[in-house]
Amino acid sequence: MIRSIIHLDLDAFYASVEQHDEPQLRGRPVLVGGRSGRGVVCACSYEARRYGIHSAMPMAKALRLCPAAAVRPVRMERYRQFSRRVFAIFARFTDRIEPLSLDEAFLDVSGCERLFGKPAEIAAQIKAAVRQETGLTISAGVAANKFLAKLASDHEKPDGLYVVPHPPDNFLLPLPLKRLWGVGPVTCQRLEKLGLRTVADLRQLSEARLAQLFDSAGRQLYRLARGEDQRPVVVASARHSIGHEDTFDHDLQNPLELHRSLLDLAERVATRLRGKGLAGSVVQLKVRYADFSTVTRRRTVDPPLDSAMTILQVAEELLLRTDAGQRPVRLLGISLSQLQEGHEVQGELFGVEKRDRLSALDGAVDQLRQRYGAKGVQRASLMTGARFESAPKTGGDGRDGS
Amino acid sequence: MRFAIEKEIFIKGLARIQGIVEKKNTIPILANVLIEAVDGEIQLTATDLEVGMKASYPATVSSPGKITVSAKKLYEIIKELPEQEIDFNAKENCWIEIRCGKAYFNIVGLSAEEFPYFPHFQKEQFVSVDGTLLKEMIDKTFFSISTDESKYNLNGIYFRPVEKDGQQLLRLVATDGHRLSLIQKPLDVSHIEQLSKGVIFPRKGIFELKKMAEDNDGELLIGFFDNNAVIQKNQTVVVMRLIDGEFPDYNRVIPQNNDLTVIIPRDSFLHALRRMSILSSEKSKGVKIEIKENLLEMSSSNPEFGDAREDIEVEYQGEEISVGFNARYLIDILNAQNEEKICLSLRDKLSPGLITPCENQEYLAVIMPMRL
Repeated sequence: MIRSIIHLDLDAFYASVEQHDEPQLRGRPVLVGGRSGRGVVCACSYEARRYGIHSAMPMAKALRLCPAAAVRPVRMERYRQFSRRVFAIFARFTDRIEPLSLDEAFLDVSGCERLFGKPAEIAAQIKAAVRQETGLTISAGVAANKFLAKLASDHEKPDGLYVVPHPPDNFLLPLPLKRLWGVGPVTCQRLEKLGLRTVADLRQLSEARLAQLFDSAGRQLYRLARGEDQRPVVVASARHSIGHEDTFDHDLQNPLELHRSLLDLAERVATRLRGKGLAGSVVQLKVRYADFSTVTRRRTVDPPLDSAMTILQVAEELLLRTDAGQRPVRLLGISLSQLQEGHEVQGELFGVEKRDRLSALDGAVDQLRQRYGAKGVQRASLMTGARFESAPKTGGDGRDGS
Repeated sequence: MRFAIEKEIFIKGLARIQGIVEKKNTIPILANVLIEAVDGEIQLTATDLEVGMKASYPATVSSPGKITVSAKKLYEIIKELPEQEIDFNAKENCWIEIRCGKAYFNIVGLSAEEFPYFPHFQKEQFVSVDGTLLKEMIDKTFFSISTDESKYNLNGIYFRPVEKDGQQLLRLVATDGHRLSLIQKPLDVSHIEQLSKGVIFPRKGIFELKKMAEDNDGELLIGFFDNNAVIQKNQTVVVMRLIDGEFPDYNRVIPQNNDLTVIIPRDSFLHALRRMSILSSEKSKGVKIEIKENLLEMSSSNPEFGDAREDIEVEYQGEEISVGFNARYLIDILNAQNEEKICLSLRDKLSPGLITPCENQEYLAVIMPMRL
């Protein structure tokens, strides 16, 4: 059976979200990323790409190429909101969705024709819905497998829609080899040394010859050169763990700084757990020392946790079982696993009132954050500029003013 | 040091201390057993600094002395030796020669110097407890001990004297925060000062205590020193550090007004629960229980396999009620009982349920429902 796969990829996603939120940025070069010394470009608008800027370029260099570019910090939470809305649109057409990142996914729409029309029509409907409901543009590639679909979405980017013909030769053969999945700079160089530049050139080589040159990767090249790819669209399985980790600007040694960082991590993990209606029974702490050696400590807890303060308490106890504080720490991470959904809950004999009050508080905070963003409500000790010794007397309402 | 000992006796002694030796291997010598040869007997000592045991066994000692050696390795060796007399010879350089039949082992020991000190005790400070009684009390409570290490004050059984209608009782309570078991038996321990406010015996110590109580009938001697409990029976002494923490106010969670009481035949209930629990979810073991007039219906379901139901005849006249419980908790309680009928008293689907033997005021179990 011929499958119908659509690859969807939002155009310059982070930068487009910034342009959406600040309309005066539209049509202007926009760079998303850190401005400080070590900062790099996480994303850039198409206007910025004309200056030769690309993602992962040091911010300082990008600004030399285009001094007029507007720089915006990364606002992951905002991008996630958009991502959720876009994925919700995908889900109207099929449940066979394989997310690749926040802005990219494969959809398997085989057998959906009777419901929604031909694959190309489905792709067009998705593009229209995304534009209308989120203001973003998305490029789509339609093909019989994931490999070709991904090539196709890039073919007419931005705002493209390309359907790979069947057989795909007219589309595939002229493509340069570096576009093939799995062909990195090293393989590409070796192929070029053999005088091969396009997929059409690669077609000339036998499977045996390719296998001799590149082992199993050679067999894969042989198949890709013919547009063959059997990989299924893998629907995201249930999550096994939820966690966060932070690499610090400078290595931490001060116990108060370590505490503050753990609180921040615990807060973010707890918020995400509750957002998904989950609680975890295994708390794991990860500590990377300045010399990059890494240790983890874990503990099973009962009942499962979804509240920052209880997660923090366990994490702090785990931290005591590491050398953190004696040795400088480069990275800290907290994750919870053995996740269970909240609907089957074992009751507690002791401390019920206190827990109920805490979870009511957590619920209220979650709602405030939904309305005012992640920084709408913050713990005083996490406020930017908060001193470690004590919480400041003023500003006790938890606003950071940004 | 040199002695000769029957294999059967030696292996029994070594088996007994396997549960005590430190397994995490944080302090190497704690993985060893201390063997001391004195007049006509050897003494085996093991400790993980929380729970320690010292026991003596008859042996023919030709040269007194002491040595330590890996408890696990020695046990493995002795277990495989033929059923004959064993010659055990520890030399000055801490190497140990073991001969039995034609088998010969030369293994490395460690000097006894570094082994932790095991205190001596005076018999007068002990109180005598009937082993069978203590075993029953432990059997009916220990399953409720918490396994969550972070709840250290729940990692044991709480012992305290109580007075009821002028009678002196010993009460044992264990809870993991989801369920609680309480038993009390006539035993006058009111004169033991250390016990008056209640003490928490650690889980590991409880297991040793239980083994001692099971090992032949007879009296156990229990005493308290500093923050330790000492238990002595015949030639065996166990010392355990009591848990330094406050046991929660358990009286508050024992339901007083559970008016919906159903009388259930224990055996049928237990077997039905075992069947139902097969299809309850792996983690939570939730089973739904619906009680109607003279009928108790149980059901469980598992999204991956299917569902199951069963009903049993009970004695009940109250309003219909439906409640979810962890089947494991119910099974543990029923397993530890021997009465023909038990009483389950409920209030509503969210409040704690109370289980008692119908004919007996000495025991009760509280279990928190689960939302299914």
